Amino acid sequence: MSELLGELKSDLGLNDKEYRHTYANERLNGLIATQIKVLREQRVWRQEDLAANAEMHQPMISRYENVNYSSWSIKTLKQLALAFDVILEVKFRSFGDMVRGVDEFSRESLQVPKFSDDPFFKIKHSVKRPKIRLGIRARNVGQVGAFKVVTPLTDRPIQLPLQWDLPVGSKLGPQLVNNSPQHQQENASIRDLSMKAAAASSGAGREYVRQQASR
Amino acid sequence: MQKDELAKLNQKLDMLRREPELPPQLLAGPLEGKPIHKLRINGRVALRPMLCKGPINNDSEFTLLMGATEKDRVLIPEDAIDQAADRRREVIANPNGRRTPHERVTWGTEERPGAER
Repeated sequence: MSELLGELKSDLGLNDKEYRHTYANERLNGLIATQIKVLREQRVWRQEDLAANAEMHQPMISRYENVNYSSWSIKTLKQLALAFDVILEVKFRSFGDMVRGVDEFSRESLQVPKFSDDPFFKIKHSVKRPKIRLGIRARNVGQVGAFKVVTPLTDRPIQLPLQWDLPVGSKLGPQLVNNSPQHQQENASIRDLSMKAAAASSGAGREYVRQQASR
Repeated sequence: MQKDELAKLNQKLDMLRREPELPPQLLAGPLEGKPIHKLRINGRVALRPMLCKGPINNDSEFTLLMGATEKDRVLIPEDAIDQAADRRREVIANPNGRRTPHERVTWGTEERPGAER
């Protein structure tokens, strides 16, 4: 425990409510003013820059960056949070938390990255997801009027008869191909259907396609 | 000194001890071109304790030179800056004899009327 922390613990521990609340309020005012300045300097902004980003006037920023300013409002702080692209957190805390935080008061502890520099959103998290390959290969896409038929597992383009009359909701409509294991069976049936369709210049093949599409 | 004034003064001094350069406008000065600064403690009475950096070790210490107040932007006593500068010179001339480590004054140190105990 630092000397200052020990002194403060004894000081506030004397159980005078008005004294400790006045101390805490004064500390809060100082912390807010200091953090506004630290965040502005972290972004290499002048007071004018912060004023422009927060849609305020520069003299107001000058007033906020003063440990003696005490007329804070949540609305103003939210406006500043938006300008800095950080969040505003307002929390009720114990006096013990305040005293413990005394030793952490430093420029580094007050700096907060803007969203685009937030390391949390820059790290790729290792969330396990099933391997899904989604895609349409253009050379395997056949056009039927306004519809496209995808045959992901064949390399040859399909020649489809243009007079097809596809029922609404048919699986022969536009679709992405999901190659995950649970979709393999469906893919196989699509492949089968498509290959049959590719050869369906005859009436039998065409009838087969109709049957499959109407299932 | 009133309870709230003492709490504010102690808080400002704590900030000065922890990170003197960081809190914006914690210290006002140098005043009138002299190496004298003042702390601002606002309240019913505007306390303006006068202090200086060092003056022996300028990087790691401040010396409280005298107490003053301010009314309508005028220091009381009016020559507070000059008096503080004189005391600074005295400290430089005899640092050990004219200074003592700061002792925290706490509202609850003695029984006072109105204190919730």
